[in-house]
Amino acid sequence: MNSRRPLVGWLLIAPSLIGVTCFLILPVVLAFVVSLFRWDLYGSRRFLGLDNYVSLLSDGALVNSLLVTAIFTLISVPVSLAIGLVLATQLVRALPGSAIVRVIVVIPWVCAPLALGVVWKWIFQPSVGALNQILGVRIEWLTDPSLALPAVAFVAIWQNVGYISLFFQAGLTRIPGSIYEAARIDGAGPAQQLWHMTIPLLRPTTFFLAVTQVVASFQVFDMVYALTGGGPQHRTEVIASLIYNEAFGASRLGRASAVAVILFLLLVVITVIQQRWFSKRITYDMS
Amino acid sequence: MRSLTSPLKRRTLLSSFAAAGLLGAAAACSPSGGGDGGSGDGGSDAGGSSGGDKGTLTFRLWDENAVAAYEESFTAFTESSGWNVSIDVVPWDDYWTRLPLDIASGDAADVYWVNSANYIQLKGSEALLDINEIIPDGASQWEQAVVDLYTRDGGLWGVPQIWDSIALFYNKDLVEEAGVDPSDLAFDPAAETDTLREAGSKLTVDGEGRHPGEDGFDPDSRARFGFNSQADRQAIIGPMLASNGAQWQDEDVYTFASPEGIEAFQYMADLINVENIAPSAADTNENGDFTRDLFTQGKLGLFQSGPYSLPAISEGVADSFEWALAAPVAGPDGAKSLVHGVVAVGNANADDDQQEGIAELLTWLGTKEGQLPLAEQGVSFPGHVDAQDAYIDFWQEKGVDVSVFVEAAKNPAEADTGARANAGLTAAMPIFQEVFIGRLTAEEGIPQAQEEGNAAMEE
Repeated sequence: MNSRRPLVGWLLIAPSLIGVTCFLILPVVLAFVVSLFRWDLYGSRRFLGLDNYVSLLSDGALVNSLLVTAIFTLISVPVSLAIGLVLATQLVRALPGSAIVRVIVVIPWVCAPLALGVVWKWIFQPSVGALNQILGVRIEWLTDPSLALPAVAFVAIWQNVGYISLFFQAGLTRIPGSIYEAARIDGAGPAQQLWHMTIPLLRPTTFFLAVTQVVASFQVFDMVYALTGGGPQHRTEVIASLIYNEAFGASRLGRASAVAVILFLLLVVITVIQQRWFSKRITYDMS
Repeated sequence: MRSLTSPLKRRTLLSSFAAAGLLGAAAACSPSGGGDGGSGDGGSDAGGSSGGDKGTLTFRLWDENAVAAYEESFTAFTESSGWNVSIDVVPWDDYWTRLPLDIASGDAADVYWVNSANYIQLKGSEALLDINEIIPDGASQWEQAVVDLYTRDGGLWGVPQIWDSIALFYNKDLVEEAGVDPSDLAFDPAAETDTLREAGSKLTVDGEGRHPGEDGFDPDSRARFGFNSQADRQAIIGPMLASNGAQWQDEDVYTFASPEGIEAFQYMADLINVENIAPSAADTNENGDFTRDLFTQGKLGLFQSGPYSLPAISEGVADSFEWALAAPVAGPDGAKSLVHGVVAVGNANADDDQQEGIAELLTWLGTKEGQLPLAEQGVSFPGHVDAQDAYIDFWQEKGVDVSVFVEAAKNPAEADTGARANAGLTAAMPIFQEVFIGRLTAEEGIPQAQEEGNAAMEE
């Protein structure tokens, strides 16, 4: 009887194992293999060793896209979390119209980023775009190198705030009302309650959102593709855009794969650091 | 028959996985990357022909407007050959992304459209059939400029399907009102002024009806523009560079950063930023159709473009104003027109049992009968010379004389060519856009664009 258990176990996990192997592990391994070659997808491959990595580190394209991605992440993640939290604290109060607002703020998150990018590109158009028409100005939101990345980050924040507020709302409903009641009796104001109670008690939710949002920011592609394509002057060329442009603009599959491998390693490192940082912080048992 | 364990199949399998892995890294790993960027299955099955008994061939193209014409053509082909043809449309934006993936995975169509900037890479990887071997007497029947574009290393690598050249669309009402003669427009960067700049100034007005150069003219409130100077390789950059005596490339190396080239680029940028007769590059860099839309709205007097703009302009303008065509703007070296041709190529790596059908289909696509629907339905100028009158007649019935495109094609500028022409232009174009928007002078930007373009072409 015991000897059959391992077989049953393997059979039970087989579907997931096959899926993970074929669609995650194998592509990652093959991306690494391809990164060692020069290949344009049309013809034969030529082995280069680590030359693709060396050229990426020396020509500035990778450093630029890492910097762009880091700035994008530093703008979009903290601001999204902050607005999402404030929004959630208001929505859980069940004020009149909260239910409708809750639906409205989530709509951008359920829409395809590519479609949103196209719509925002129209809105941002310098001459005929809705934003400039409303503001009565002529600002080149997406073609001015100093404005393009903040504009892209703004759209990302706008899209993600609803999703983030949903999680914070779920976290807030788990905090017993009696804790706030006791705090109020002790004289704590709304700001003190937010800073000393709500934020610490939401730490597990914040950790989850921070990790997923940072990872998502490092993988952002479709919205940037629709809005700017990585321009102007590579100022919005995030890492995924660099992968795409190297693969399909410059037909350099090897270099594109090398960037993909570096992105993979970077995300592993960031996730481990985040996990360690948060694990040292106290989490509260609210049961 | 190849066995599943043959080296080719293993390579194909590995290539497919590698391509899937790369795509996954590029797009699908996005939190919501569910493939909303394109047709996940390689495009839409747009129809085709049926009823044959020899099997089915696949045909891929990027232009939805040409599908009905090809359906008509393939119906006749199926009746005569017994081969069915299934049409697959992959939009232009996805076409050159999907093609290498499909070739690497062995899923490329039997016959598919290719342009001159991309065929050499395909030819270099031995993915294409030599048309001279399939249709030995074909080249003499087809538009010579297109045959020349696709002739390399002694072979002809595609059957010309459609081609276009460049001419000047003009708004009859506006040019008459401004007293501009569109048939006599020329530019000369070395001169103080020229007829193009003068015409552009007359046609451009701000919200108060003032022209550029007049006191109080406000470029930010322009209600109407003169000319579509923009970072458009085919309609503007190519013709104006060649008209100014600049060479685009020598073999597979860019040479556009010559004194004549830099002068022409600066001139084109100045039409926007100094003369104020062309719309801002902030608009046109992001939306290449911005000026076409202005023209259809009656807000642009002169619009240099190709036959590919005819359907949109014809439908967009409708009866709101009269428009016509003239020769492209001439430069010191005369009027040049960049000729682009699209060919149907045969997949050399398709299964052996498809090769006979592929040869038959390519032969059919090279005949006058095979191409007539493209002309009769107004898709574009057909590659077969004897079918071209049908296209001219199509537009003549709508009151538009398109024979100017035929004339323009007789004096072509250089088209992009080279094994990595696409990569080269992809590297250079963002820098061209910076010159057009005025953040770089041509003296600064064009040598840089040439250097980066050549670096991308070399690899």
